[in-house]
Amino acid sequence: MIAAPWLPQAASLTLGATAVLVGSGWVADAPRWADGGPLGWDLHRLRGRRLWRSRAFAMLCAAPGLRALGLAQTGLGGWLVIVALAGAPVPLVALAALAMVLAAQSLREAGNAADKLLSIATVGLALIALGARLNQPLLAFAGVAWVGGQLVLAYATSGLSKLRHARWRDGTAVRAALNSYNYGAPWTARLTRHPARARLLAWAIILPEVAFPFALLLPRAALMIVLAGFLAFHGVIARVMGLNVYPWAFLTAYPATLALGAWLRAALGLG
Amino acid sequence: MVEALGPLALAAVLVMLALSVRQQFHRVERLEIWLERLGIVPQWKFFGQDAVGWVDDDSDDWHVVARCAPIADTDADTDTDDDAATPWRPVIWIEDRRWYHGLWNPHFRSNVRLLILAERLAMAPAERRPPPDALATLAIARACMARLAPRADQALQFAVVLTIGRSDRRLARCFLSDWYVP
Repeated sequence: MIAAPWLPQAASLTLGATAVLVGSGWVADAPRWADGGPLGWDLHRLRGRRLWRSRAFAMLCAAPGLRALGLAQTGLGGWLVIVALAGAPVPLVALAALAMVLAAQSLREAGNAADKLLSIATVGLALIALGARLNQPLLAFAGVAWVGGQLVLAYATSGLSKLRHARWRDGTAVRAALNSYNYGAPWTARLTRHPARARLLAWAIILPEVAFPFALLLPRAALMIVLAGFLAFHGVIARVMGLNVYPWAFLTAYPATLALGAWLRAALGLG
Repeated sequence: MVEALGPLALAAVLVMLALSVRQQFHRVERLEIWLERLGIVPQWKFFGQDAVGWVDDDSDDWHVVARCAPIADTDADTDTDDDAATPWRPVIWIEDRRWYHGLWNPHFRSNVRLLILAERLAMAPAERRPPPDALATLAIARACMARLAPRADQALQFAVVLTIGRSDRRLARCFLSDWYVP
């Protein structure tokens, strides 16, 4: 069940598409990171660490290096997409190269949650693909547990941390944020104008996040509906806040989460 | 040999997951920063966590504006007479996003980085001269130079300003830079 054929293919497709999007974003944004620009490595390296002033770091972290890494990420992502669509085995060499590209990018700039999810999905898919190739179900399961476990942790932590704040519980935080230009839009400001609606929205975010670990116990079709709901939630956030990579990054973790849910239900004798 | 890979990998994954759970509830130490950055032991910072510092100033919008003036008029004082300077022009200005930013928004990462630097300047005590974070100052100054392209006989000054919410877009000036020449 863990090494079901759809799992590496679906994971490869979502990971590849996300890598294409993130990589092409780096390529398009590279001029801002060029020497002489506002985020140039010539400024960053002044922070004084000896390693950062090395030639190797400069090659990697200056704009040409970032552009090359972005291109490599785009190419590797495209490779994974094509392989998934063709139904061919996932190329481990592409995953190893993608992991190195992601690590190199994180040396330059601390990654956001989407970058971290991409790294996690890459390692997880590598374990799944290696397990399938070597006929080692436990190895594949390690990949499933890594990716699915991190997604569960991400959602649950996010919900619990909101739950701790009175401003989230009474809707003040979500109302204020959605009334800003940075985190909101005109329609979100209208939506949360009334405190009762803001409170309802806050709880509509908090409760599914907190309860997400229990969704793993649902039948596969129901879990898919839950994940589709979360994907729609990320889609709305992407539209409102400009976090365009996040829906894709979370999507990379969904195939493994479905497999983890199936394993959990089987292990607990739920069918 | 191959048979050992599965149990080993699973044990490593379970240890990492346990460390990740711990990571959510304590401050990240220096060594752990790299494990966090690489997504090995991630800390999931979304809206709402203490570490983000987001909940207390959640409707704030930070912006950067800049202006130019003849160098001769900018010798002594950062608050040069407004008549001598050009009007303030937006350099980083937060507005409603377009629909396509939900699909394609390549400058999001650099915009966030620049706004973090601008906010760092704005949060510094106003009486501190020179500014406490020279790199942040240089980065924002470069962004302003690139946008306004002052002439050789002009100096440039930038300000970090704050607006709160949508109903009241009055600008509150939180940081005023020195005058810089290209």
